Amino acid sequence: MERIEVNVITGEQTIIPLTEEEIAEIQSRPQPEPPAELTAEEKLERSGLTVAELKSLLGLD
Amino acid sequence: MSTLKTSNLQHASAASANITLASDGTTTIAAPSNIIKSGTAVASTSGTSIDFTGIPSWVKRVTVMLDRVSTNGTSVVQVQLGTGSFTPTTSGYNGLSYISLTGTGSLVTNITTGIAILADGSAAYSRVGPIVINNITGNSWSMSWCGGDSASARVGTAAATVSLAATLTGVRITTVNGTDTFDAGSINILYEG
Repeated sequence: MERIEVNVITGEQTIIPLTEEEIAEIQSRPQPEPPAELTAEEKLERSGLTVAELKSLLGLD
Repeated sequence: MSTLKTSNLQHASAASANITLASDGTTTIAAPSNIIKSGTAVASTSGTSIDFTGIPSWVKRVTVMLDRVSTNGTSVVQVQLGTGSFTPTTSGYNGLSYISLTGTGSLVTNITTGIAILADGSAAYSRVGPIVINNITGNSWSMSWCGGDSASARVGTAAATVSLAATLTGVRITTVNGTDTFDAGSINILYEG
């Protein structure tokens, strides 16, 4: 792995390999859990509709 | 009209020249105020982080500009501030980030390791928009971003504050997991006093 460093005064761009310490720090970071797949009800709720409102809208009361 | 020929202008009490006049016509102002200076645009097509270093101590505002920045993974892109010969500050950020999600409403997240550019990540995201970093006082900074993912018309915004241990000297653009690699776009900064 490497990082790109740009000096804003000189404009010089340098590609710098990460040190062993930097790689170890990155590898020690907690990996976030993948987001859970939303249920149809949750997707509906996020869009601002309830199941009852959708049923009413579709004439399924 | 007469011409005053000199190379330096210096206040009587200053340790060095306030203004330097070069033979090629360029003028260097040691600590300018009310002047916006540009960094050098860098292609964000490789590397796990991109660092803009050497920001002068007189700077009170930095603007990081993202032009369709993409990574190869799903980790959230974040911006961190750094000090010294460039050590990024990786904790202590107080903020939140928002993204509108096509078909599934929206998502808000908060991270403490930087300001999050979009509240989630995707290899398909093409991030645009400026991150404005303003000095509050001393080494305390306020950061805000308004932009989105131009590839899928998602909108995002974010804000954060952080107190650095020393004077700001640089800005890092990276991902939360630190291993995803940049694979498209470009980034530049403006800085001003």
